[in-house]
Amino acid sequence: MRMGNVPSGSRKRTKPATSSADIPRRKSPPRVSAAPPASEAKPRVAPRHVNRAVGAVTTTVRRDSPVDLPAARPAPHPLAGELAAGKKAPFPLPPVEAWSLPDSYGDTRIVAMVRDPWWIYAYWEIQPAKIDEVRRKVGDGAWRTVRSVLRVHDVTGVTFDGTNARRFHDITIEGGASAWYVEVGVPGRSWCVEIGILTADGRFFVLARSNVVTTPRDTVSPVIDEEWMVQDEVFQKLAGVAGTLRPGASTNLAELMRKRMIARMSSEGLTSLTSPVRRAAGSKQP
Amino acid sequence: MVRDRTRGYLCMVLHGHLPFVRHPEYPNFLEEKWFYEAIVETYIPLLTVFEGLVRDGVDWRLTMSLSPPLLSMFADPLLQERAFAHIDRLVELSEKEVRRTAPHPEFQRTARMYEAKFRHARALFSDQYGRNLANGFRRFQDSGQLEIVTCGATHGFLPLMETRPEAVNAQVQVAVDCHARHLGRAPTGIWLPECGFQPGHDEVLRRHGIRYFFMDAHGILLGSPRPKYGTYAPVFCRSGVAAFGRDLESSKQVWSALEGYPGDFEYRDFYRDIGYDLDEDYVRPYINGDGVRTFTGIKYHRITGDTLDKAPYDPARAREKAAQHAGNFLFNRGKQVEYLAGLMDRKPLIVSPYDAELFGHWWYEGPDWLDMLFRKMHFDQDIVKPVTAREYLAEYPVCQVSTPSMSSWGHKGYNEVWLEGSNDWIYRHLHKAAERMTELAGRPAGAGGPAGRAVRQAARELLLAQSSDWAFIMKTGTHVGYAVNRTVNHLGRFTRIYDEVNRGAVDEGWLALIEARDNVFPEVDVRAWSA
Repeated sequence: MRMGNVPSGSRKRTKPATSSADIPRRKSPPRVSAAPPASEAKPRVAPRHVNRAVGAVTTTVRRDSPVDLPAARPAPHPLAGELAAGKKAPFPLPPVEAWSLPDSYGDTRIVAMVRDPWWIYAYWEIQPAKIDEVRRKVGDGAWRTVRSVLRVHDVTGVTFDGTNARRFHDITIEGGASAWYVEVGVPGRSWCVEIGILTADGRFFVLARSNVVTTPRDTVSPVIDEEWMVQDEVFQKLAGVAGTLRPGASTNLAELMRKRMIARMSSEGLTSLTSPVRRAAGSKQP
Repeated sequence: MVRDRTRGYLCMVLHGHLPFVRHPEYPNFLEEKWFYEAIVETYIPLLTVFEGLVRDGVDWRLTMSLSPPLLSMFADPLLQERAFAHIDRLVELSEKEVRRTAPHPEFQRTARMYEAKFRHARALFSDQYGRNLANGFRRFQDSGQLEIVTCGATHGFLPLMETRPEAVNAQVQVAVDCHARHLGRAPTGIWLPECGFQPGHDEVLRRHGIRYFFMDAHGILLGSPRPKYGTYAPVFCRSGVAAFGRDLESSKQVWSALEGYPGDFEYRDFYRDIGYDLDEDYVRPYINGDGVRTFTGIKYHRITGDTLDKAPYDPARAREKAAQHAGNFLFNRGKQVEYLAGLMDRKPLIVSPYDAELFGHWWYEGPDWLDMLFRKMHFDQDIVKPVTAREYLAEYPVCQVSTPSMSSWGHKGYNEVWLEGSNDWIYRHLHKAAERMTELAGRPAGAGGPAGRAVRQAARELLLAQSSDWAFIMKTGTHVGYAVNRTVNHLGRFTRIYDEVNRGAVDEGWLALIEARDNVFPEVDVRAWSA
């Protein structure tokens, strides 16, 4: 299994909003609007969703902490300055307010979400008191060599109590991340993610345990309802993959369907707000 | 006695939605134009098609979702007034255009087309439907040809609310209430936002009287047990709610960027617009009001080819092409149902869902195509018959039980569009706000007092923050600042209300301003979060 890192660097997008290569996905062109103060005027970075462990805030709180701590003070939203400097006079109501989102809600928790059959996502928040608690258990000597890890448990078909997972693997958390994409790689299974402290001698101390999520299957179900039987050959035709299997190769139905469907989903997945019409190459217009 | 020669059914579905965008604090607001353009280019043309079909005795069936934000915007007096002014300006601009293009007959015929269409739109919007287009759709609902289904309260993407079941419940419950209020009857079907389905959510739908929903093909095909009819008949979830799967073949004919009808060279080019092409002084009153160039909706060229040298648009030829394409689509559906009927022991159902705004806004001739399709289906053949999901279930009340698979109709088929690097930061805040909303909803607050008002406003702010549109816009990269702003502002207002209610110190002056600004769902029932 590979793990998907969420380096904070890769999250910062500085793409200018106005680009000749932009295809307008929305109804209006990607032009600057002076009316809404925080529209597309400038390149900007996405809001931080990763605590600034690498930055000064966290490290001044506890330099030797292996686990990212919540920032000590709320950081302003990246757009706050722009919003506060609202360019237009208010109309009937006050102008845009400058809100910011907190780095921490004072919780110790980890939440898992499904991205697709092969990947899950987890975000978390751990309070310093919880880390202190574990640190006391670990002891100051051993603390120097601990790692913070995500322990990803396969809990398919079991009621997980912390010890009865079918298998698990660990991912070392780096860079003070507070969120991670995990490539579980096996569709149709249930997962629980723990964040915790792993000592050099292999002891694991849980800081928080997530909800259980189940990744969807990526193949045709092997389960057949005998009241609703259908021949493989007919099912292939109905699923639009007929004629692509050699005779006698029907055992590959599931694999073939998987490939065909992935190809279709990737090429035809269309959602709202996109134009079905291609633009002429080299078009200068928005 | 006439023998029924119908071999299969076609269920056309248009998904109508826009995020709730309403900014009374500004006289002009770029993103509000999404709504005005949708009214002029999609919703009024569709209503016009429906009128013509009824007038000419065509037996047609169409399913449309009208999302709660869209219905709320239809009914909002401020947006109605601004929409009317928008249409009025278009009439004025098209009149000028008829004069300006007088020396160029190949352009003037198109200018005349706009003038006639905009005048008609103004009359229909204002005189016929009292500026509220929901009245128009309701008329065809009540006459039985149009089946209107609901959507999430603010188009929240439900699979990413898995850990907050009360938030899923509220998206459905508030939607059902809103639908009934605007359309006079409770919905029996739903278009799940982005077709996002999570097994188990069907139980939430059942609780609120929803009997069926639509989903993408792989959601059905990968369901368990294996669905006997593939996507060509619905399955029942264990809750008894029916799931209808999208047909890929018919979708592709319309949607595909490569082979789809909308890319035909005779059709109107979307990108060449006088808002960009003409002298700035001339178009300034008709663009954003602040000199920023935008689309006006008046476009004179056809797609022509993969070239920047665009030829003049010919409305008559484009309409002829739409008729040909409708014939081609129907011919293919006929072949398809005949083939499928040979594989099935019931009549196959082809479900063809599209974004409503594909018709008219993106694909200008889309409403003509739809018009021709229903006419040809009615007059020219009897193999394929249009049907609603409800009618199909009435004919085949016994369906296989199968649990559909988690899926969406977004790129790659799952949740990635709404959960990736540009937008994943929102979920910890949305989930926390949903948790807090449940806490607020459980408080014994006097419903009429300031605390009760504050809690209801908190519900509106949470719902508005949950629109999947914001995550989608962050991913696609246009209007990102606006989407980030909306998310942060609604969450910020929510949190302030939460803190004030907890402290017992509601700032009523500020609350009144926020109520006036974010005025969606005036009668929101906060018990939806304690269910």
